[in-house]
Amino acid sequence: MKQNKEKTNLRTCKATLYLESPDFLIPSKLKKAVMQREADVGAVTGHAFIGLTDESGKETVYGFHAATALPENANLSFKEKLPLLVSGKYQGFVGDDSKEPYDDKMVYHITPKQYDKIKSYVEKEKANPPKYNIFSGNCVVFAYKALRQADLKLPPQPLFYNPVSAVLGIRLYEKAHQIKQDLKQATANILSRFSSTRKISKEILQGLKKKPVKQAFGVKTVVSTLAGNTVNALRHRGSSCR
Amino acid sequence: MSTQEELEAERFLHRAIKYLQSTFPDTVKEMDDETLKNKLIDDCQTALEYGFDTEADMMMVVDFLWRIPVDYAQLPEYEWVKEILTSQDMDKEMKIDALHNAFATIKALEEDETEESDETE
Repeated sequence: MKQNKEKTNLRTCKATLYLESPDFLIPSKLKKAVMQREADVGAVTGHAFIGLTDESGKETVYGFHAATALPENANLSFKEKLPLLVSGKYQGFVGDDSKEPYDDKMVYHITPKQYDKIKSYVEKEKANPPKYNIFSGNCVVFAYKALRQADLKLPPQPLFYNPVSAVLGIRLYEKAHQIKQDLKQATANILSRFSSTRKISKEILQGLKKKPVKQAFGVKTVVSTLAGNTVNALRHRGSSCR
Repeated sequence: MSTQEELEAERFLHRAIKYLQSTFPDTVKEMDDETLKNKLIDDCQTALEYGFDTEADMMMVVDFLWRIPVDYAQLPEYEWVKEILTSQDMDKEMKIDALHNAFATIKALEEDETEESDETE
């Protein structure tokens, strides 16, 4: 029984948030190195989709699209597509995005229980897909809603749900994580070299401050010191006469 | 004559200087021995003021102070340092963790901005 419980707590599965970043977010030096993509709406707006990897290592990839992306609508021009995408009345669908290109990804190591929660949500959405809306019912909303089923912390979305914020969030997290790793290393280094119990007093430290071997005092300093001494002497005399 | 405590403190400073030399070689190179020792003592005293009184705790703060600008106390963008160090809600370990998290985020943002400006140049 206990063994079973421990097994379900192990993070043996994975959930991955994939991002095809909009063209302008791909550094120019990497433009030729990124995965090949079609010059469609996704290349302008970006695209988000998710991967779910089970305990055996098999990944299933899901993405939410407007029906404009279906092969039968391939002849629609961008001008014809746009009003459909913002109308909120156009049908969406959850498809297999395993062939989609991506530039950034956030991998979450999750438990089988979390895996099941996400899987059950995406399968439900796949069977009964919602309408598509570029602002409130887009690919990012789908991916975030799915991953939130497992209470995962996702890149922040300060405006409306969009691939740009997710891309920037992932890149920032990666850099911050690397810096944090360096700090962890420093912490471990300090803890191995210095005592966690021995204390040092402020007075002793002060006493160990290096005093200069020689100091120079020019006429201005000497005069001001003399003047200060005179004032102090007069004050002292005044107070002792009272 | 030195007391036992003074000798221990001297030994601590010696090890702390070795640590700084290996962790921040470029910054240390710019200082003479006297300046280095005095700065280390000043930073240790700052750590003590915020309640970090063991050797290891003190060095955590010293290490952190060496990563941020020397005049951080005067810089509005580093107000969070004092806020965290004086927080009544966090223990010492949480404070160090919070300092590290804030520092990592700010550095990551700075690096991101630098990369962006390199791109536009």
